[in-house]
Amino acid sequence: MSVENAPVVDVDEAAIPVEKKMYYRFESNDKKEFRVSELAIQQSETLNRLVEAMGYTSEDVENKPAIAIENIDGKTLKLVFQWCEHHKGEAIPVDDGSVPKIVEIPEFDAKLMDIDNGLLFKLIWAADYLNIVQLLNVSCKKVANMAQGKTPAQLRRVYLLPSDEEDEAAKRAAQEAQDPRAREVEEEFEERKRQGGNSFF
Amino acid sequence: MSSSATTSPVSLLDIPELPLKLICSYVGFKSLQSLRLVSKPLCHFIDTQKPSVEIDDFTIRINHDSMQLKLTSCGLNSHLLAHVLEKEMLVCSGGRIRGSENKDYLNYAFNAVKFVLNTQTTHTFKRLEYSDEFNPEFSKMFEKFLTDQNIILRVCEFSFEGNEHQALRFLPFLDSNILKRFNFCGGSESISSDDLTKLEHWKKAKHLSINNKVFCVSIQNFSHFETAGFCMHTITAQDLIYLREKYSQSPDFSSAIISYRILEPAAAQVFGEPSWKDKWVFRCYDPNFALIIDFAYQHIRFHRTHISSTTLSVIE
Repeated sequence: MSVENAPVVDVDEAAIPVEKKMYYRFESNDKKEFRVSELAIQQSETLNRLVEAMGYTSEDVENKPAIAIENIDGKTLKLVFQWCEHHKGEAIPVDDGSVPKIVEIPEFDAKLMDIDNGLLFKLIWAADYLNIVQLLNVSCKKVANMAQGKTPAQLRRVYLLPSDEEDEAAKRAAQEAQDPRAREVEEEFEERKRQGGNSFF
Repeated sequence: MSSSATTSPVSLLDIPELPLKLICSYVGFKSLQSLRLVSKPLCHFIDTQKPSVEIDDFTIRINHDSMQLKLTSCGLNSHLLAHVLEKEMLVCSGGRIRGSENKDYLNYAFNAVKFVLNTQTTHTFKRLEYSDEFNPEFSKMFEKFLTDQNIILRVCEFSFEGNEHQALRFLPFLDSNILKRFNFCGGSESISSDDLTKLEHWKKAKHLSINNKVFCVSIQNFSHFETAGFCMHTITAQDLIYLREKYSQSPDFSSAIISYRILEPAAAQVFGEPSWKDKWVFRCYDPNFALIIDFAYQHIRFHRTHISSTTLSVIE
């Protein structure tokens, strides 16, 4: 995908200081490309270390291939980089063990995370993978808020969790898929039982 | 609980351990107990990882024939009440009432408290209220459990109902670096030893509120609190001069209400004539602030306020 056609993250031009800033290019696992400011990248410990280690110049950023993030799709990565751009320059919280740990979800973050639960889980996964502390905090808080006042059955639906019975059935199916002969043996056994014989002996 | 770094999550259980633990720590106590009932893997995760949920308030009240536990976490209340009657014990929990032949309400309360503490690793409470003034048996069980498990409670605000001896036994189970507010009440008694005021918990706390206890110790033990309410047996002129000096110096002091049994005659005259509306007003070390002192019946109030909220000329 060419850079011209890439889904560029919106950047508030007025907020950019006069001096030239570097914008890195990243590519998701479904080949979508993003330009992200140096300052926004600092929100991610993983990406920050990566670009530091690469030591790219402005020319390198333009001429070399975009940095591939192979584990995250474009839809999720767009949310991640939108969050990073909005919160660029903000201090990264340090868990000092102080009590109680209070996390409030800012309005921007609440709107950004107004998405289906599956995508929200992906966003959490990405925030953890890219080590974006505050995004992880707010997204986990958002998921936690969904549990308020819910019964176990409601929680199962909200969090897309199988019941123990469904889980067992899925495990059995997975085992059978791994060993097709197991299914055949079981069917043969059931058939012989129906015929009334203890013919295995 | 995904172990693979490349697995894309489709449900809560596919989320890696660290964020899942974080989510569990934010859901609050009541929802965490509901989550335990969702599925075996989630129950196992919660029981082994023991995420530390935010507990805003935990109240333990033990009486002659009843016990009450109340827990507030993330805005949701959990309530457990057990009351021993002639033939049975009534237990009220989650809006339901049931009878039990087992009338050992102390053990019932103890097991419930143990359950709450066993769900956590950091034992953090914004506020803990503890009262078993009339049944010290529970304290013995509770203190033994805390000792055996090597548990130190991280409590910001501690409200204790009991006597000085009981407070001295229980306070060491609290982390003195976390405790900010100490509320102490219970049966009327006179406290003349320095044992309580020597504790680190006392020295490091910022806020103090004491009812029904009359102190016969040095007033110096109270000058570090930002807000304080307590009763002294006797107030001398030297006490008032000392407090005025300390409170004027402190940038954090806010207010203190001191009741007393005896006010020495010299103390009543120590500041001379009132300077403003029957009050005495002094400029603090920070010139933007004033210290106001006023007397009421058997009470003295010290109050630090911004200079703009008083009449500047009265202290010039």
